[in-house]
Amino acid sequence: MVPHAEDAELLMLFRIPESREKAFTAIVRKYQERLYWHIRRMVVTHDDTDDVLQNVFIKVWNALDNFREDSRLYTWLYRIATNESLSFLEQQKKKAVISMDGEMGEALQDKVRADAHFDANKLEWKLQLAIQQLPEKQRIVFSLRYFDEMPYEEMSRVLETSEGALKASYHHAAKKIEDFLLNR
Amino acid sequence: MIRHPEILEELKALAPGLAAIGTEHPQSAPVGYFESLPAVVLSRIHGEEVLELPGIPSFPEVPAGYFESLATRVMGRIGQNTTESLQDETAALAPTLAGIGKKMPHSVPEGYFEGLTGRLVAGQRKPARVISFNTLRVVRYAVAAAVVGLLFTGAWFLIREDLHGNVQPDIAASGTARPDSVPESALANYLDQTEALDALDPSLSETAKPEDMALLNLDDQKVGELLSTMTDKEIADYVNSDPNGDPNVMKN
Repeated sequence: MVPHAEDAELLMLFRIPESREKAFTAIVRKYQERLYWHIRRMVVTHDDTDDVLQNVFIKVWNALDNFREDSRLYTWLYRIATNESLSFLEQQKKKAVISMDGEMGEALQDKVRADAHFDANKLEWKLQLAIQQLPEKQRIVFSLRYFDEMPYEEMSRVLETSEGALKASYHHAAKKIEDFLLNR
Repeated sequence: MIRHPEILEELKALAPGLAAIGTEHPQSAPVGYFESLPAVVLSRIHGEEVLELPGIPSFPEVPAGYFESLATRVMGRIGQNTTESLQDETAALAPTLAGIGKKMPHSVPEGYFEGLTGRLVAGQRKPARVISFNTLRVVRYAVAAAVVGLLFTGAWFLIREDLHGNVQPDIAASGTARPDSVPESALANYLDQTEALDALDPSLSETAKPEDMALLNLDDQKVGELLSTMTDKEIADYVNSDPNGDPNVMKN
């Protein structure tokens, strides 16, 4: 099987019992890295990312038969990954008795700093700290636009938000991050 | 660096410094993680023993018997700490109290605790008395009571009206109560009151006509003498005459 077969072909093969697992494996291989980093930019640590990512693919296995193909598979997968990440963060807030996004942001920044390779002098690490101080929705929008280079039209389907609201959110996020980088 | 030209131009306009940073992640995924991920996910889907993903360090070994004895050791430490701290606290606050001890002076009936569990279980087994609240029956009783109440109220009003109706027609027809329906004691009272009024207001007797005063001065013997001189027909005519035409007739 071609590793990067078209999504339609993969979906067709998934619906055939004999080729189901092979098709699923191909889908996982095709999208795992993009989804991994999308989730990791939300939850920060590898272990949490691994938990969320595995849950995402288990949901994909269970729901793929009902996928209506009215959107791209890539969009559908990103939507599941985003929702799972937000649910995970919500659970973390409850466990830590965190009520505000600001407190959650600080907790995530602490996790960034706790990485074995963290270097405060490097811009890439500062960028990660800057991203974690954003509210959740802004963080997702910035991540999808800046790192995944997703068009607003596609993003609108992933997040089920208007393009105008997404543009405004991205603009605010970019300004905040630049301000953080320049002044800290 | 961002490759998409439109997104790059947008970022340069918004945050030029940010556009220069790049999109490489400083974090990294463990070596071999992505190669093993599909197999791990499938093993979870099929409920098989989850394979260990490479790159994730395993925990160091735990000493044999550690978990079996952990609860006992922890409880022992909790009890020790609690007892010591409580004793110290009591001794500091009330030395006399600390010296008394905790033995209860009361005694418990023999065999009480041995049979307690059995009594409790037997009590639990008794079926609870169920008092059904039959809403429909209650509503029926309420409706019946309301109907009976309405009937009684209606009957009471009817009877009251009836009583008033029995008295009024006689008065309405004659304009006055018939002398034979008015008890003598009432007449006597009336006369006495009239005399009392006269006593209070002498002008009343001054304005009264002589023949009226003569009537008022009659006693029972004189009335009887007068009546004996009248025939029954004369008395009947007198009773049936129009009271409005004769000023001497009492008007109510």
